[in-house]
Amino acid sequence: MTKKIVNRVLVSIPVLIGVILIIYVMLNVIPGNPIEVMMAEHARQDVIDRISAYYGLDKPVWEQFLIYLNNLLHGDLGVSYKLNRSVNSLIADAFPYTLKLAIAAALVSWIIGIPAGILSAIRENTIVDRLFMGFSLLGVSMPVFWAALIFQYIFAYRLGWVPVSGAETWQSYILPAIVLGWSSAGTIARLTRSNLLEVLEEDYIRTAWAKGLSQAGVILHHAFKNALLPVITMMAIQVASLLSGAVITETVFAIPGIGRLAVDAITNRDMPLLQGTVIFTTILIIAGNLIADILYSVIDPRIREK
Amino acid sequence: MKNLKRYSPETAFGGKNERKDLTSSAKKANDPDAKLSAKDRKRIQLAADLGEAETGWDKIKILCSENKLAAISFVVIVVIALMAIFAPAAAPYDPTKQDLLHRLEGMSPEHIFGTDQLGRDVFSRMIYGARVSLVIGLLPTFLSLALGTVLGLISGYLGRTADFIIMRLADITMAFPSLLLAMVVMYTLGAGIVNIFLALTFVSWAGTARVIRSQTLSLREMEYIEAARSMGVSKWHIMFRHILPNCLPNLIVLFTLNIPGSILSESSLSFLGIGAQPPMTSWGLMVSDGKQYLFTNPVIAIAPGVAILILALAFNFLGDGVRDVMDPYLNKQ
Amino acid sequence: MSKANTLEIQHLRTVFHTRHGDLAAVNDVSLTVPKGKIVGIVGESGCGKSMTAMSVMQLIRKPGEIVSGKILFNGEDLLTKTPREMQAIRGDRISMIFQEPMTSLNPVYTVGHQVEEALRIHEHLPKEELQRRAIEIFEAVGIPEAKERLASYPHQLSGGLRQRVMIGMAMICKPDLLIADEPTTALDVTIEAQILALMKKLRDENGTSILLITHNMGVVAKMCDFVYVMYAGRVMEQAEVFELFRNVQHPYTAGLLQSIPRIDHVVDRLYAIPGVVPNLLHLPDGCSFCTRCRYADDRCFSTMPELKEIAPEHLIRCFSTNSALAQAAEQSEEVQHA
Repeated sequence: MTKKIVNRVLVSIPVLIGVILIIYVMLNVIPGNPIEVMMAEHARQDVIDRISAYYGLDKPVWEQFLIYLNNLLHGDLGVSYKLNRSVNSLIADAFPYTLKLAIAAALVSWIIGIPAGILSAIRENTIVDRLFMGFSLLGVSMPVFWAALIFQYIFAYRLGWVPVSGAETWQSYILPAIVLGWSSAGTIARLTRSNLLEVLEEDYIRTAWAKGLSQAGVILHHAFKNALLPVITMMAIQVASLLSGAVITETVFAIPGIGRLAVDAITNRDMPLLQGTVIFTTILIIAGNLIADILYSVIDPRIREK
Repeated sequence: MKNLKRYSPETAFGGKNERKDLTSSAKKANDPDAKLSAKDRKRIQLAADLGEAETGWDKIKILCSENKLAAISFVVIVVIALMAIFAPAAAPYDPTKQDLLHRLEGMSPEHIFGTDQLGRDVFSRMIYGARVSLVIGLLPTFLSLALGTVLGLISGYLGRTADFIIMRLADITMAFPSLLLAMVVMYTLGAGIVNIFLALTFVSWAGTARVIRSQTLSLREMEYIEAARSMGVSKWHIMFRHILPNCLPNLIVLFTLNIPGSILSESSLSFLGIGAQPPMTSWGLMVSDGKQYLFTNPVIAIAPGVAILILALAFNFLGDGVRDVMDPYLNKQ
Repeated sequence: MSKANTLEIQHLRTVFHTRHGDLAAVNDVSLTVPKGKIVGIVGESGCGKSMTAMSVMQLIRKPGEIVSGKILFNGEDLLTKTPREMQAIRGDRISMIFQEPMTSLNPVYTVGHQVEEALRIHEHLPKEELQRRAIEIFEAVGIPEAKERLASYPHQLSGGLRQRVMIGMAMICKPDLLIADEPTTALDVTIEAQILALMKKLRDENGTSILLITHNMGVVAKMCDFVYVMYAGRVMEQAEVFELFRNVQHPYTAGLLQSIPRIDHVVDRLYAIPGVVPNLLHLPDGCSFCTRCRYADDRCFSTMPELKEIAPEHLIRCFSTNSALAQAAEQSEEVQHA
């Protein structure tokens, strides 16, 4: 078991290095000096040169990469071109907002998605099932930014129940969490439903019925644990989609999180900031997958042993 | 069955060998002792019905009655596609014609979805915007599917180093949050429609590659592939002539199910201002333009969003339907 | 009815509603399991034998439905019970074991947990008592190192051990009726013999009545006191086991017996009844076996024969008897040859 976890951690290291390399290459192959591009025509050449030297841009690309990698190993993501602050501190400021939003959205998606999936499976092909599945497909097909705007219009502007945007109070997170959680809830509900339906066909479910268990007993005790295994993997992948979705949700609701940082970095052509946010988010996702794998093997005795 | 004759091997299978499979699977669907879920029964029955259908038209009729939502969705997609293709004829106004005297008008008989900040007709712009959404829905999905298929085939069939490299690349690609990765690609390449193709292709090939790889791995052990190999058929010929056709049902399902994701990604990128650029219209861009006027004139932001929703929903329903139809074929392998 | 019968099924009819119409998986089946006896149902797959068992348990799933008949268990009609009352009966008074010991146990719980659960549902006992009873039953079904085995997961046990666990789970509440649905089909021949011997032993010790479902005539001969032969949802022949083997009278049963490999006969090829079980949706108008019966005549194609008694307690659903038919066929062949 411990060996398996260690192995799994070791496997994710090359992936991590690959991620960093790809991001670095993609962001640094752009021809021309990024400082020049950023400052456009306004700056004098000697100023550009001085600033370039400050950021280490006068060195060869491979050396820049090694320096970046070395800094990264020490937990240093570099300095933002535009804001002249360390990317670390910018991310440290922004991350709590994104984390709060992601947790709230994840809660929304589990609290809605899992019960909806169970109910749909139990009441397969009834009105309840169709309704839930319709809603979840709607959630999956809905552009997040558009849903955000609609929610803002109805619940904040028209009804005035919650703030339109911002992140000052906990109420400001309600709309973003629902918007972001809905599409994940759809995915989770569909997955829970299909897994549960599959598990309900298993022989051991028949055994559970034959023992004299109630429907609740059969489903919650015997079917749910088995059906949940793939859902857990899904939840890890969901972390990725939540963080992706957060980019848009944060933009629409003016939440100063990581996503906003990334969008601002693109608008300002602030390469180190974009690089830092993408690498940071990707590390989170890899960690999420790792945790899901470990959780999976803790729950499933068949895997636990191998 | 009135025409039931006494038993003979010929009559039992309807005399035709290819029918054998279908009749017996239909039988399986009606055998209460067989261990099958209700869904399996339905699918096997459907496969048998399709096998018995005489003409292609009959098949379509069976499929439509089987999944009405998918049929309706297909019609919706066709209608949107026709409007996009014949946009100049379908649009009531020139989508670029500004009319500053009639800015930001609400819904009216003249302008059913009102006019935008430059007085352009929103409905006409939506019809032209459909072109972007449809092309982006189909083309990058197709490209990423093609790329993923080739890499998956190579990875699964050749194995060794090629497999290692491709699968690690897939791991890395899948580790990125797709929208962020697409944003990075757009940052590097610059905004614009062709770059969206590249970004979305780059982001989504890995899933296909994994599916095709695992299918190739199981197919290459099949007797007929072994036989082809022993006869000295070349690797590439086996991969593309023998293995690829067997992956087709899977690819069709992946294709339809991946389209809505592409449509939504494009609209997100355009909404963030790094996708389609003016003067080109895209539904995502229109929502983005309209959002400043959300509280005064919500229809100009809402209408294009509804269009995205409808198109994505239609492709999702269609994809579900296609998967249900393809499933018996997928399971057979 | 007399109290001597644990189970008495009367004119049971279970149908499946399909797009192409209703199909009767169990069609007018009546059978009796006397107390302490082992009664067999034999037939090919798809003949409705498992559905008969599931009807007794009332575990028929949609689109299936019991439409008519009575299922008297210790004199009470189970079909009039509420779902909650049925829950109390399942696993306690009637238990069931299944064909696939590999998949019939839940992979994520220990076998001890699953066996104790069967007891816990029906009797409120303290934890130690549950465990004691589980060890006791494990020993009774011949699981070595019973105590240690409680903590095993199903995938850690062999097929034979798993089926012993299943039997232990079924027997822990000392039921009046045990329904065994092909309990040994998935097992090796040596393990099969052990499991069958175990079931017989448990019957002898506890007086449990057993309804044994199988397609294997060898198992029937070894185990059963009385046999029902089913085909396409109907009982074709029923008799006390010695009577059946000595005096087979339905052409279908004769075919089944002929298809058993025999060690004392050298044959080129094993006999198989020609054709396949007909689709229940497209049953012939007359006798359901007519399409595969070598003796079928016009009457067989138009009218379904009723069950008739040809010897004490020996009923067949055929217009004639196998011996008469065989004789007639032989004669007509002789005539042709002559």
